[in-house]
Amino acid sequence: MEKILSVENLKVIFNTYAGTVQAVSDVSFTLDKGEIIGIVGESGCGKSVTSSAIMRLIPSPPGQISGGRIIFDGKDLVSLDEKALQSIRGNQISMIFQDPIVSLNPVLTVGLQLAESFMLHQKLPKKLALEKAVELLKLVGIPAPEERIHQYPHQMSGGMRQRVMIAMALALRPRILIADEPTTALDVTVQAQIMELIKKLNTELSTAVILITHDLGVVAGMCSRVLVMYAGKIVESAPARELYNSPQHPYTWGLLKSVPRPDKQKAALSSIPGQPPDLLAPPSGCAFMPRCQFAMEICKQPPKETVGSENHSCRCWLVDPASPYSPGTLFKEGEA
Amino acid sequence: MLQYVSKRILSLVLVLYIVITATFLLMHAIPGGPFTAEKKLAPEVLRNINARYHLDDPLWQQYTDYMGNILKFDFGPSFKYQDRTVNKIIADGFPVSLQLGSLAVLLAVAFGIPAGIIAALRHNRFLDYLVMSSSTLGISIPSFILASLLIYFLAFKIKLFPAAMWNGFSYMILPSISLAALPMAVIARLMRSSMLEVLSQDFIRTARAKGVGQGLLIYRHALKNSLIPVVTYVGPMAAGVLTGSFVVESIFNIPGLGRHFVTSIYNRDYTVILGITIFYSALIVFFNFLVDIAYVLLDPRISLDKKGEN
Ligand SMILES: Nc1ncnc2c1ncn2[C@@H]1O[C@H](COP(=O)(O)OP(=O)(O)OP(=O)(O)O)[C@@H](O)[C@H]1O
Ligand SMILES: [Mg+2]
Repeated sequence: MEKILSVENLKVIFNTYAGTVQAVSDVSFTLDKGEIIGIVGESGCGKSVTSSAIMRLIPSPPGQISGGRIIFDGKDLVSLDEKALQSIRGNQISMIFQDPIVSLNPVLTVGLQLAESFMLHQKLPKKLALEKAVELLKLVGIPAPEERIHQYPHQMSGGMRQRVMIAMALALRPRILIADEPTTALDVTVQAQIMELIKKLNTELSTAVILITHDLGVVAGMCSRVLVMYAGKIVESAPARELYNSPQHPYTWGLLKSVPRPDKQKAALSSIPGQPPDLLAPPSGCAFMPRCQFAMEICKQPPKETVGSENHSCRCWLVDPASPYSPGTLFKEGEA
Repeated sequence: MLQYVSKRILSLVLVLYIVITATFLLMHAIPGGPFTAEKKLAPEVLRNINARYHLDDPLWQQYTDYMGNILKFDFGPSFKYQDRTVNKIIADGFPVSLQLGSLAVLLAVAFGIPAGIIAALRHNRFLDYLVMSSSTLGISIPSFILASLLIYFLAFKIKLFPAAMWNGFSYMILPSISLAALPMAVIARLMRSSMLEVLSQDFIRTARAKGVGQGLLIYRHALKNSLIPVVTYVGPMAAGVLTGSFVVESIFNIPGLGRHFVTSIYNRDYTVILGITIFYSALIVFFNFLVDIAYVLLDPRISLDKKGEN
């Protein structure tokens, strides 16, 4: 498969009064054409910061990309100037944000906000751009789009606004769509509809999607590959099925245990005890060690990334070739 | 809309009624009257005068007479200037104050808003500090000092503008700058802080994610949202500036309405005090009405009918 995005050793920091927050450190992954990958992890692990970095929308100050490269189309987005970035944003790479209620401008009509992309990137006159906006609303399944384009965001429901956000992101058939928890603010039935819509658009327009969520259940049905993030690092990445069937990192295992699964009868869902580390002063060793029930002495040193079969990589001492244990057996015992 | 307008008119009537009554009573509660001067008038002269102006009538009758005349838009004769009615005083003075005030409001808005935007865009950098420190100056220098400085440097030292009087456009420059300084400074500060607030909103990030450049981002996505606090201030401020300022009009010797505010109180010129107060109140209510309209134009979530309810 053809690679369209490759993130290499990305590092993002925030300079705050309290000190330097290491929000994302040493994140690397690639995205193929038309592929859907998932990024999962607890709140605050750096999912949104990673996606904002790809869009080059890290607020600066206080934020800053302090290292690494983001290669798109043979160009390194990290070193592009604002002008060049503007022609990529919304055009080649676009993004759906976490909260549709506050992500639309309350004083502009939905139509103008949609049409704007065409006016900016295709230099269409407003009238033509508005006609395109109507088509977009049809595409995302909003009834009576001719009337809707004259409305303001507050006249629409949350689900409808998120559809508008998706329509906006897909306006110019971007090559990459970053969806940052596109359904967290919505109720369950709407969630399923939105996910279906993203999937459908991925097939029809062959847009590659980075789907960010902290819900492993959502990821299962949609993504070919999953990256698990913890404290600003990718701790495990594997094809979705592989990850579900044989998680290697204790954190992934913990996340999976907390997902309700219809195929397994379990009395109670467990959650991972403890808190993620303070990113102002991240531990020098494995960041998950304090919460890990399999922690060993060596975990005080930073674990190396081990790449196994099927592109299954993991940052954990348990899977180190020298480790006397195998995660698989340990987790089975833990399950019992 | 109709509901809103009728509510507004009703509240205008109520406000004016209260203002008139309160001013009327306060005026008469202060000891002395229009004709108590240092030089004592002969008792029979005083009696004649009091009879002519109905000052001997019981208070309630003076009050009802006055109210009746107001309904006919007749504010009565001035007690001080025998040949002039209050209507005439307002008709003479207001156009002058209006011209001067309009220029001052225009200056304040035209410089205050861009200054605030620039400060917000250069947050915590040189231009921001420059705007913030000049606006601190603008807020803290009293207008009579600013006026004197302007006259000294721009009228006497480099003879750029006339120092006083009222004879055409060039006479308006110095007084309108003196009037505009304070509101300009306040507007710049309001604009800066509300622009900073709006620029940190999520929908601004959405716009940038679409590829919107800096200029359009400010003009289309941030300006309307951030103007609301400024409009809230500009409405009542404009009403005040347009009716003239005693200090500035006295320093520049301008025949506007502003001086009558103060002189009529010195002179106990009852009808002038009342007339000008009513006029000023009506203007404030009118400008608040304009502010409400501006809200609706700026923010589609606000509707006039809902506003009228609170
Ligand atoms: N503007 C900022 N200033 C300082 N720190 C920040 C800023 N933005 C993000 N961070 C830090 O970066 C880290 C990662 O945040 P991020 O928003 O990427 O988390 P997330 O994985 O998207 O979480 P969630 O699931 O809650 O959306 C957090 O620890 C946060 O404190
Ligand atoms: Mg997030």
